[in-house]
Amino acid sequence: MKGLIKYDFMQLASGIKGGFILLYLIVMAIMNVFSGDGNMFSYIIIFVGGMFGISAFNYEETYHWDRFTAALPLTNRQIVLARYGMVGICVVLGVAASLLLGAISVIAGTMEISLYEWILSMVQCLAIAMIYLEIMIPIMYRFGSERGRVVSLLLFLIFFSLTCVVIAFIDVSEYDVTIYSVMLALVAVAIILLPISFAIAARVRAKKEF
Amino acid sequence: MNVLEIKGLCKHYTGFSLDNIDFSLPVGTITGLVGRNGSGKTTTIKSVVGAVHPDGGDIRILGQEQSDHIMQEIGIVYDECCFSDILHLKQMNSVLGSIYSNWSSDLFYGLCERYGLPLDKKIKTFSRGMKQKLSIAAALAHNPKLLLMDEPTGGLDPVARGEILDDLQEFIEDGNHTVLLSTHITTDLDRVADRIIILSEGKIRIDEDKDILLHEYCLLKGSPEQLSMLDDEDILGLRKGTYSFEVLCKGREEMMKKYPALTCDRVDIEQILVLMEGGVHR
Repeated sequence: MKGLIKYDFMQLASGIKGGFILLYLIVMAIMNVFSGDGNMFSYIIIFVGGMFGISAFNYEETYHWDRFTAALPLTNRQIVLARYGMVGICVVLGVAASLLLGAISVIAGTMEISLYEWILSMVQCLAIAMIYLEIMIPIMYRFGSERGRVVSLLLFLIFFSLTCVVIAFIDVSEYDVTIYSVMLALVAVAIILLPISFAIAARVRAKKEF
Repeated sequence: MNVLEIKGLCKHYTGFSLDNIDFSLPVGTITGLVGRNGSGKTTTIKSVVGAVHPDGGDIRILGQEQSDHIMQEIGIVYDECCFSDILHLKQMNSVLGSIYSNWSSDLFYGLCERYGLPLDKKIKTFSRGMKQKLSIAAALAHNPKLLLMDEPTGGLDPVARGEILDDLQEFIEDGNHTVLLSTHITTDLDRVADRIIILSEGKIRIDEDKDILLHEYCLLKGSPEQLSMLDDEDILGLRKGTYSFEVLCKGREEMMKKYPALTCDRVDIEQILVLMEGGVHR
């Protein structure tokens, strides 16, 4: 399993190095910190971390590594767990970068919200990123990287459309909803969804043929 | 002892079915798996490693059911390299070394050196032949008991093919290793194979020791007028030309006695395959 995570990371590192993505992100981070949007960019970085993890599916298909992994001395669950592990590590790195960016914003005096509000928003972003990835990974296994992106776009389009429709008919101000309660709800969903996502992904991959 | 036993293997796709494939691989042998494109060779190999899920049948490796543990003993080489182009060999050594418990970095680097593969250059700088050699080095470096190869020498020059065939013979020399080699290059099988399995439309047509196959099967040649002399049951494959015909038959001694007027030649694997698959009925 360690070998699979290593493989994905080595590819990611090679891809990032060659594409100047890291340089771009650093430049954008600096610009956002000094324009007062450092906290906003810190939320985005968490998602960027997760998306880097998802890009492993792309590489896997391009080089037929998925066909090779079928013949490795690893169970299907180990292979899927390695992918979740890798995506999880990417998210953690995204959070670490985000915390660093936040700290720089605070030191530079350009953080426009309070530290407490920033931490709450960070936790919400992390929960949302986790929920997004927990939905994406089984979709990627089922549909592949290209079709998977289209399917996930459609799913989120449907979800957000329904949300807008519901909000249009319900007066949200009648409900005692605070940012704190929303955060707790999101964290709860992210935690509950994780084993469900893994079980679905493992089942989907077990049926796949390469 | 049989390293691989396949009984009643079935797999159905739209327009094609692998139909009750039965064969075994004795230890210490190289078995050639031959057939036209789409005959089921790759499907058979993928079924062994679990890349394809059969609809029926039983596969046993070293007497055991398929499992992740037994995959330690299997090396696989596909028709194209499955490793990321943007990595280099040292990274692949690190990755595969973490996966296989029997992985030998010394063996891997030794094979890479023998095949002339640079350790520090990205795999995308390799030619097709070099990538195939890398796949072979990676498959051999964990000392598998069973090596499965699906068109491993396609795209290789004759010198490189020769090197790999020599390595395969060396691999089985100790009597503890076995190879299943699926290939279109029948001259490779003429050189190294101990047994030949010919697949056609998802079924096994021939499963025979190579020497017996080449001794038993023969090519009867004659003029078109002489074709009527032959019994239908003796004709396994026929190729008719304007001035001559060639017929594939079994039982060389018997055919020579039965049809003394016809020329009876030895065959090679390619001729058997071409006549069985591409020949026409009279």
